[in-house]
Parts: sequence; C-alpha cells; structure tokens
Amino acid sequence: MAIQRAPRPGTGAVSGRPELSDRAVAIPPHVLVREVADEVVILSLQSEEYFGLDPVGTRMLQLLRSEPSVQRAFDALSAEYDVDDTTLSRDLDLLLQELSSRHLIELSGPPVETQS
Amino acid sequence: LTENMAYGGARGYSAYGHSLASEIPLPELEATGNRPDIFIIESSEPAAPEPSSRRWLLEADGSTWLVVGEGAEGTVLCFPGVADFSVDIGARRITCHLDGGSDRAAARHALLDHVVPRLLVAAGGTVLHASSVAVGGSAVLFAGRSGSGKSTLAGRCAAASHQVLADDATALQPIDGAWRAWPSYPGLRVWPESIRQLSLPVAARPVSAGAPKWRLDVPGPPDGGAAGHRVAAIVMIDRREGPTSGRRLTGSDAFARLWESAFGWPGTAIEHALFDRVTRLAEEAPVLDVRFANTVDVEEILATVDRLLVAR
Repeated sequence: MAIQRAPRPGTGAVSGRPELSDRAVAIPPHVLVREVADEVVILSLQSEEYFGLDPVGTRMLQLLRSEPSVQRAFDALSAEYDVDDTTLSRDLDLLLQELSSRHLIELSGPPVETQS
Repeated sequence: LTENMAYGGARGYSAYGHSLASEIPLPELEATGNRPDIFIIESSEPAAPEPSSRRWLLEADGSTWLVVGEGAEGTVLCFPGVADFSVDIGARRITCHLDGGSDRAAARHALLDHVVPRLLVAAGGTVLHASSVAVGGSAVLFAGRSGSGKSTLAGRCAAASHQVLADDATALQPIDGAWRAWPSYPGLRVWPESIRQLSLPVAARPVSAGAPKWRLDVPGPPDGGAAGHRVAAIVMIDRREGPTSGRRLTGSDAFARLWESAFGWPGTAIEHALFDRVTRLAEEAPVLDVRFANTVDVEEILATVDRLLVAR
C-alpha cells in the first residue's frame, strides 16, 4: 500500500463483513495502546501478550478509534491510500478479525443517529 | 530518618541508585551512610499469599520458582525452599522470612536480584534484566534472553579494561530528557567454565551452596555509580556463528525486546505505568540488536555498537 498523494473520496463499502460497517471500535480497559515512532504497540493486561502494528496497521487503528464507525474509517482510509476497495476491505477485515479474536478491541453497536 | 531509627539494627547499603537500610547483612553491596529510601527487615513469621490471588512462575523443568500473591501486609513473593518476602510498596519496605535451613546467600540473591528490582518497578522505576559496562563514560547495556551471555560479555569487557557497572540488572531513569543507568551492585555471576576463559584477577566463589553459578568479585564503579551513567545504547545480544552484525531496532520491535527484558510487577495500575515508561524508553533510547560469535573480540562488538549509533 502506498500513501496516495491526492486524496479521493471513498465510495466503497466494507464488503468482507457488511455487518461490521455500522459498528464502532473501542479499546477495552484491559488493553493498553501507545504509539512508538510511527508504529503502535498494544498490550493486553489480561493475556499478558503484546502486539505491534506496522505504520499502515497503525493508521488503520487510529482511524478505527477516531471515526464513529468501521465504514467511516474505511472511507477515510480509502481517501488517504492509493488502494482498491477490495484490497482495503480485505486488509481492514483482517485487522479487525485479528484484534477482535485476541480481545484487543470491542465492537459496539451501530452509532446513535444525531439530529443536525 | 525516623523510619530508619525504627530499625535500630539496620545497616546502610547502596544498590540500583538507592540507599537501603537492612537488618539482614548484605555483603554483596557497597556500604553507605546515606538516608535510606528502601527498608529491609527480617521476620521470624512466614508470609503466605492468599490462595485465590496466587500466581505461579515456573522453571524450565516445571518446578515452581516463584509464587506471587497478595498477603496481609502487601504483595508476597515466595521462593520455595529459600525465603518469602512481603513487600509494602508505599512504605518501600520488604519483610523477609528465610525458610528454615535455607542458604542465606540464596535468600540474598532472591532479595537483591528479584525482589528489590520489582519493588523499584512497583514504586515507579524501570529496571532491565541487563548487564552494563561503562564505555567512554557512558553506559552500554547488554540484554537478552536467559543464558544469552549477558554476564559473560560484561566479564569479557572487564578483561578488556572496561568498567563493569552491573551483572544482571540495571535501573534506568530519564533525567532532564536523557536516560541514565544505575547498577544493581558490584560483582559478576558466571558459569564455572567462564571463569577460566575470563582470566580476571579477582576472587571467585559459588554464589550459594549448590548454586550452579560462581561469583566474581569484580570491583564496582567509584561511589557505587551513585550519579548514574548516561545510556549510550541498550544492546540485545545474540550469540551465533558468523560475522558480527547488527541493526537498530525501532517502534514495536524496540518495545518488544525491552518489554521482554523489563522487570514487572503484578497489578494493573503498575503495569499500566510501566508500559508507559517502556514505550518512552523504546522511543528515546537507542536499542540495538547485535549478533556475534562466541570467539569475537569485545572491541569488535563495541565498534559495531558505535557504528550503529553513528549511522542513525
């Protein structure tokens, strides 16, 4: 994956697991996350295991945490990186599966709609 | 001072950049008259962790090495057949109970090399399982998995006229934006076969009765290294055949190796704070991975460290 020079709006969908699209990602209390250089390290106080993400995985997690839904994170990543939707969807799904299966993230329900 | 007076029979020592008042004589340490900030008292009463809180740490052969849990007066660390230690973090007090018939040298080893560094971590410090030597006035730390040769490499540096700072554990602290190192205490613990190889003109004796390692009385730095040394590099050592090589570790790689080498302490809040300190260390201190053959000259290893530091 190369960083795209000119951002483009995201139009795709998280196709691998569409049920995740509206879910929000949160870090559970027993998980510690810190950025070191341009990577992120994750420590589970429950399992006492630690993990590292490369710079692309780090950016994915940053956006998954800051955006209100997986779909919005997908859109932001799609705008930021020069990558086709299928590849991005697969990579994002893989990261979500990895983190979720190790109880490093929690996927909450669809975000509450707010009136503007 | 009031607390010190409460332990009338205590003697003062320095280790890890701290001053200890101990009721147990600790001949391994440098004596000091400084005001103590860690207190070691001896008790005839054993301390046992609550059964529901017990965690077992095992040796490679499956035997129990250490049992940790919560007791009436703090966290209890039990070394079966040797001693148990009740640690009051807030008071910085370690209460020792030696098992009947146990070897006092083995109990001192457990106290100085396992319990004191863990108390320092619980109290907000950072201690690595790492030997260290002074090179050009700065500290080079050698860390690695058990049996990787940390002490032997420090001994080889001593044979090459470099000052040994620490054998097995080095305390670290950021001062004014730079990490500094404080040695545990003088001396080296090495395998018997390393003693002849090192040819150091110092006394050698078994660490304790029946212990596999021997202790070499290598002198420590002046003042016990009280001022600390600026950390030049933390070197993850890997002995293997082939040419000497190395690379600089960054990001999650640097964190992972440091976290594996760091003394820990059970308890979420303490682990949380330690995680913060180790991630900061990974970001701020040079962490290197250096591979070298057993027979290579230590100056070649140190030159590789220098080269990697310059090449950043």
